[in-house]
Amino acid sequence: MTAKQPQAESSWVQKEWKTAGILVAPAIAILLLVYAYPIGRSFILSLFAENLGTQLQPVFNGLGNYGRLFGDGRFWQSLGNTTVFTVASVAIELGLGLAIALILNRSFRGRGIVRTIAILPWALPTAVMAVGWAWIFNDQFGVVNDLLQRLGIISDGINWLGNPTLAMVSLIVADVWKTTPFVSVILLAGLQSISKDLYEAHAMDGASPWQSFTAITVPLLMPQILIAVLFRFAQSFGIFDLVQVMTGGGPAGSTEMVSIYIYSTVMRYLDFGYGASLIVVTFLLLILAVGLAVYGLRRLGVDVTQ
Amino acid sequence: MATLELKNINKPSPRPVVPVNYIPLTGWYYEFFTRVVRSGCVKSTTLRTIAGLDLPTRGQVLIGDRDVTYTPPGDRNLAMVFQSYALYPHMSVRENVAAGLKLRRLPVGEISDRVQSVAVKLDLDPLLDRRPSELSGGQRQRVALARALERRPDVFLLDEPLSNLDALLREQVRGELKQIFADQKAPVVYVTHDQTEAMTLSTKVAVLYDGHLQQLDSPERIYSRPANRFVAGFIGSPQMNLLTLKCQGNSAQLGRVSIKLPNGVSTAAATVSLGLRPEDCVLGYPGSADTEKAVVVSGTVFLSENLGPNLLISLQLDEERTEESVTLRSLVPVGSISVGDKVTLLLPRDRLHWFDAVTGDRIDS
Repeated sequence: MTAKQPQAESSWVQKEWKTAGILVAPAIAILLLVYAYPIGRSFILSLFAENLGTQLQPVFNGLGNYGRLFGDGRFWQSLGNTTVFTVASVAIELGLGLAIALILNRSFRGRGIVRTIAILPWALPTAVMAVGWAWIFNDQFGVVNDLLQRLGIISDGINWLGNPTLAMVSLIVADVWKTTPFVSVILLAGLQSISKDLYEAHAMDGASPWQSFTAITVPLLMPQILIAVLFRFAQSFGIFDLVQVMTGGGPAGSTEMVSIYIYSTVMRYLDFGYGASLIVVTFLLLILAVGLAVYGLRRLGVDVTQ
Repeated sequence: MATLELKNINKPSPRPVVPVNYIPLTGWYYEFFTRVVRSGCVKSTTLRTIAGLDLPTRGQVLIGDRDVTYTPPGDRNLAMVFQSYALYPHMSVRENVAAGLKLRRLPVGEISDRVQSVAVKLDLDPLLDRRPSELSGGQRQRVALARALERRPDVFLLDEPLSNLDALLREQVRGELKQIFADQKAPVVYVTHDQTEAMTLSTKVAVLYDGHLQQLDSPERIYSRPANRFVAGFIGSPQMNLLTLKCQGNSAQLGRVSIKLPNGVSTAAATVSLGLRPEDCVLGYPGSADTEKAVVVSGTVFLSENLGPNLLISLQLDEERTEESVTLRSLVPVGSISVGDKVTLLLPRDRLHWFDAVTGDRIDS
């Protein structure tokens, strides 16, 4: 009887594993199909030349595509544009989102309505709001120019989307407007999980509100800040719709993002092989950036996996 | 040594207005003993007002001769132990204990000295590098206590510090608390709804009911001379017998026995409240006692509960008219009585408490 016990137990464990395997299998199959296959396919495709020159037939090209990529100024410029856009928009969104979250975390009359209104921009389709922002920054009929002229700050309308620097600024403004609510909602959830007692205990110890903010709010909010930054970083780096609608990457490629360049390469120039190598390099760079960020934060004592 | 005084504090809580009337606390080890009845914030409101986390709508908070009513919490030099302990989850025990001193910009050497000495005192030194999440409930409680102690404040505020501990641990920590605070020179305001904590720890107890101060006295006086019927029924376990008796002239009727009211007690009302603790009733037999010193009553036991050291019996007193039945509870030695027995009880006259039947106030001095 006692000798049989472990055997019965091991067969029970085996059965559990079998059931678990059956239940998990569909999810694994879908993940492989949706993630692993496209990634692997892109990587293989990037080793071939497949364009109008080869009459769209795949011809093995080794690392030729990658060699071409290193000398491709347009790619590096789009990568630079994307980095500027990402760093600026994520930084501003984080600061602004934190400020809004702190305000919404206070109790005041009409807080429920304000919270709902604050989330609205995020609920709009990006393409729709991009059309709106393109009009807002329009050089002849735009609201921004009209307001600045009425206030007497400028005399002639500024061609916002026609100037390389101003076009980038316009894009960042539009992106900040749209995605700050996302950041503030995540941070608000984090703020609400911090006990009020901690602030009261800290205040009794003689802490000023600023000291409480740096010593309690920021460290305890770090997991939510990291989630918000990682999400926003990934989304911002792959930005497509906003730019495509507002500037189309112009003027003169000054706002061309990596995603737009890849889209052009594949869909307009029909250069599939080179497009795939662009995707692979961007993919690896993204992983590298996220890895470095996580490593750096670990060194600072922040555990992202928590 | 600092003193703490609350003058005519009035603070409206979310629904009813809760005035905490004149609580002069001058002395050195005090306790608020509060009974939370309606909104649950009466006791905390008082403590939070002292701490400066809430502002009173009226009245003053004085520490020593300093009026701190509108002083920010950090400038009052108070230390509070929160019911939730309010430990900073992202800091080690050491950092938690040192946080208050760092904010006060003490030299690093002194901070570590103070943390070390308080850690040794509370047996926390092996835990100094752990996070609060790695500690047991009792250990967290000690960290919260350490954080308050090393501040060396003018007044300690303790908000139900033992309520999150299990019963066994609570008794142990209660004893430790008493020893720790016996060494401190600052007054302690301790809020609890546990009467044992109030009686064992305090030199003075304030009983609050419905936001009003019922009695401010030493534990001994609170027990032996309760100021009104509420305090009488609230303090002491098993609960005091509280009987409403008819009275005629200057005597009250208890079962078949007529009890002469003590001198100086007015009897305008038709009824009066009599209080008597179960432990003050003594078993006897008819004619066994001096009726000058004790009231002798008899009755039938209908319930007996074994409390361990003794037996709590409930008996129905013999009556002239059965519709006016009176029950009395008494503590007797285990094994002496069983249900259905006829019993004679001696009620010492000097242990009888007389209260006004309407207002509930004590009427014998």
